[in-house]
Amino acid sequence: MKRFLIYILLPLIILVLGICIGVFIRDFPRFSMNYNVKITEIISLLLTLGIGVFIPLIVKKLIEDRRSFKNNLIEEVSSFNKITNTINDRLTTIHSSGKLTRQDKDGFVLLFEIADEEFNQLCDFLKENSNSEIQNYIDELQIKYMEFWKTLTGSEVTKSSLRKLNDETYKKAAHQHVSMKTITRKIKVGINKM
Amino acid sequence: MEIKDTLVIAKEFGDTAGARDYEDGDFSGREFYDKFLKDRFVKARDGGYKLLIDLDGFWGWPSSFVSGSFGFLSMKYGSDLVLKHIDFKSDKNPLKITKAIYEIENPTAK
Repeated sequence: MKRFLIYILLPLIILVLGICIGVFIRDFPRFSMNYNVKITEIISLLLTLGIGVFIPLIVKKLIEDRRSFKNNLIEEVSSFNKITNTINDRLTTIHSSGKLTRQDKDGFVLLFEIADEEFNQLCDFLKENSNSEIQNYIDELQIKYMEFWKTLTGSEVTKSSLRKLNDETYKKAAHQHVSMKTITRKIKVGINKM
Repeated sequence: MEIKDTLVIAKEFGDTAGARDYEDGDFSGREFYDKFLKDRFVKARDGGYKLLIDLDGFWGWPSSFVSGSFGFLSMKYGSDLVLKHIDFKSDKNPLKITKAIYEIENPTAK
């Protein structure tokens, strides 16, 4: 029985199926190969391939490069934020301690030397690589930064007779720090919009 | 206006800035004003030339020092005249120039 199935019935079924498929597709339009290809068709094919393959790759790379460039600019802004945060933390510590020493005063001068370098670098990067909206924010930031510097390295802090950071100076500097942070946030948003 | 004199602070005065007044310690802004800045500025004004202040190599730039020297000069002679006869050079930290000009334009008495 098994032999009958394998050697007779199965080949018969395959034969009948083949005939049926043959009958079914015999009237389909037949394909023919034309070996005379026009040059315009080759160009068209290459262009289609170019659009389909290369353009997505190039666009993707451009988008990634742009993102990485923006991230670098944002990182520069964050570096400046970091040093001004350090100054502000130092300010809070000194104010809470109720003491203002010679070292504390020199410490502010040192921190502003470092912050100056960060600010110079930030300006250099953004002047070359940003738009007028960000330039305006940079000018605003510079004014606020100068006020912050003037408060913390001015006579109301560096005067030799001063042994304690007074509340007014602390509040003024803390407020100037917040204003700088607000501007740097706007710069970051501006960079992302570029 | 031509630059005919250059004051290199780090060489002539000292390499570190102090605070504002004499009582605040050595290398104060007032000391710099009295011993170097005032006479050189007056000569530049009378001679009709510019004095170049070279800030390179000078460490620290506290507002109190700038106020005690350039701010004081500005209060005495007026910011326009000071800026007419003084130029700054700071290759390493250009922000120091902006800060000095800021103090000259907005001098504070104390």
